[in-house]
Amino acid sequence: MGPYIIRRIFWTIVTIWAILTVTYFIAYLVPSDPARLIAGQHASAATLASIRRALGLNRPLWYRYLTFANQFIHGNLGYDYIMRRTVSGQVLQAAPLTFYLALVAVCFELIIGIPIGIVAAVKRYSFVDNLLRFISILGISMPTYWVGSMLLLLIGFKLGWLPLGGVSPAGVILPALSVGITGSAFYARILRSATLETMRMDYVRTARAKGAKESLILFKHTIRNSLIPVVTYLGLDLGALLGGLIVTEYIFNWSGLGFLLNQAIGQDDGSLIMGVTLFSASGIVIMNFVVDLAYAFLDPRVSYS
Amino acid sequence: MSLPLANPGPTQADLNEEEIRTPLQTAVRRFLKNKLAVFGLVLVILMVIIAIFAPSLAPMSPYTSYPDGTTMQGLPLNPTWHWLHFFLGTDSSGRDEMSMLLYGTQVSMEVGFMATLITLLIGVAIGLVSGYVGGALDNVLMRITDVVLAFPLFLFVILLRSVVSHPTVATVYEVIGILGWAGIARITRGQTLAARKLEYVESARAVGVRTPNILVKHIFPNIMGPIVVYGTLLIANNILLESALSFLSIGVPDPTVSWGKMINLGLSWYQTDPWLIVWPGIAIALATLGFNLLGDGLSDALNPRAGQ
Repeated sequence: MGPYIIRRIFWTIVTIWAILTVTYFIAYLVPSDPARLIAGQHASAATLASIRRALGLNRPLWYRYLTFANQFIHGNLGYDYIMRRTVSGQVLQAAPLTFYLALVAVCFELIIGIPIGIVAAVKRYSFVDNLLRFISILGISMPTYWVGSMLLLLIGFKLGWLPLGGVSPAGVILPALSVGITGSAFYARILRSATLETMRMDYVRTARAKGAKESLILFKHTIRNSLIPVVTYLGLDLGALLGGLIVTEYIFNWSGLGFLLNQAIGQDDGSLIMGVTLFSASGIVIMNFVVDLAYAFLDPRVSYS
Repeated sequence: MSLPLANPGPTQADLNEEEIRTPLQTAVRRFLKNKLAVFGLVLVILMVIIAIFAPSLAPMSPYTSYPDGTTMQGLPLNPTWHWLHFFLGTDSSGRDEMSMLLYGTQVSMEVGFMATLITLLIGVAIGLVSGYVGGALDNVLMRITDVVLAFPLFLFVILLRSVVSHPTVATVYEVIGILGWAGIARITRGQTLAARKLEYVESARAVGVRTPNILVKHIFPNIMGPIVVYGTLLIANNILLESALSFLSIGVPDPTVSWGKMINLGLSWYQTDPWLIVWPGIAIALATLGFNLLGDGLSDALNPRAGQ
């Protein structure tokens, strides 16, 4: 177990370093003029010159890169160019809201996905199974932001049941549901195949042979063990989850990281775009590490070699 | 992981016939029996035809703001159901929705196919080399792949796209294509590892066929199945990605028409003209559904044992 954790920590750090480096090179080497990116398309020549000085563009590349990395390690993501506030301050203010929305969204994914997966497995190869399969594929085919727009239109506006946007206790439901509807399909399919696999296990046959009730076999012996791959997918899914959050936060004015990112895109604020990307990407890698670790503790069959 | 839609199992007659069929013929037959997969194929063909013939099919120009395209108050028109005159209504600047929908197919198909092509070229090349050469090179390439796989794709697509100052449609598919290769590299490597141990590959090596030739002529054809399946599903994903970028107004530049952009514009009018977000959403869902059903059906047809 010890070496496994050390190795995972090592690769988590390497990955974050890679994210830092790639972000740096995209932001400072791809554009012909990084100052233009930071200041936006409409900046004056004097502004550009002052940014170039502030960025230290006259210094050698390795020096600039190391300075950037050093600032990142110390939690300094620079300043946004419009309001001159620290990027880290804005990011840290937005992050808890995104985290909260993500948690509710994952709950919806599981609430919708798990029953579908179980029913599909129990009724395997039947009409119901085929129908659920079609619904799942339809679910992953619809853009999250479109599902969000439709919920906004039907439940928020036409029925008037839930707020049209903004951060409030009830306001979390529609954006989370948008992500939940499109994200649940994967959980349904994973759980279905995992359940089918578990059903063929010897201990399930033994339980049936000794006369255990079918419902007991299903819930106690089969589904509990089939949920393991679902936990794995939970970790892998974080990137896609964030993609969904970015668009739904925009629709529902949920002032989390996605909202901040959209604001940055709208204002052409390169420094803020970079800061949100760096923070969110590193956050996902760390969360992934935590899920992996939890998984290793929960499932004794995971090999640590 | 994926399971066949209907699995009646082979009858004796099937088994007898199967002996005289090539694997490809067997796969085609299995595919055609799957109604949903055929439906997906029909959708895909339809979308490609619409994309190619959009200029001839469109009743009006998708770029023109028609003076009679808005109401006296400057509001979008409701659907008229007259093909040549604002069939599905207009947007807030008086453009014909139907024509915009038809032209939107072009960007979706172009970005869907081209981004996938770029991703496959990079990913398959890395996977083939990594799996076949093995050793330290394999180790290095796969560690890099793992790291790239951990990058949240959508974020980096946004970042890379936002630093390009004069974007074109090509910018969008290049950005998506360049960043998305890690998944297919992993799959290709796994398949190559298995294929390189096959006898005919070993005999090719034994008679002195050069490595590039072995990779391209002997291993690649043998592992095409999973790559085709993954590629088809990837097209669906890339269509969604393009539309999401355009929705966030960092996709294709104006005046190019994109479904995602149409939803973004329509969102300001959803309370009075909900159709503006309904039409393009259905278009995206149908295009994506087509490729997803096709990929799903291909997966069953090419790999009959999966998940049974």
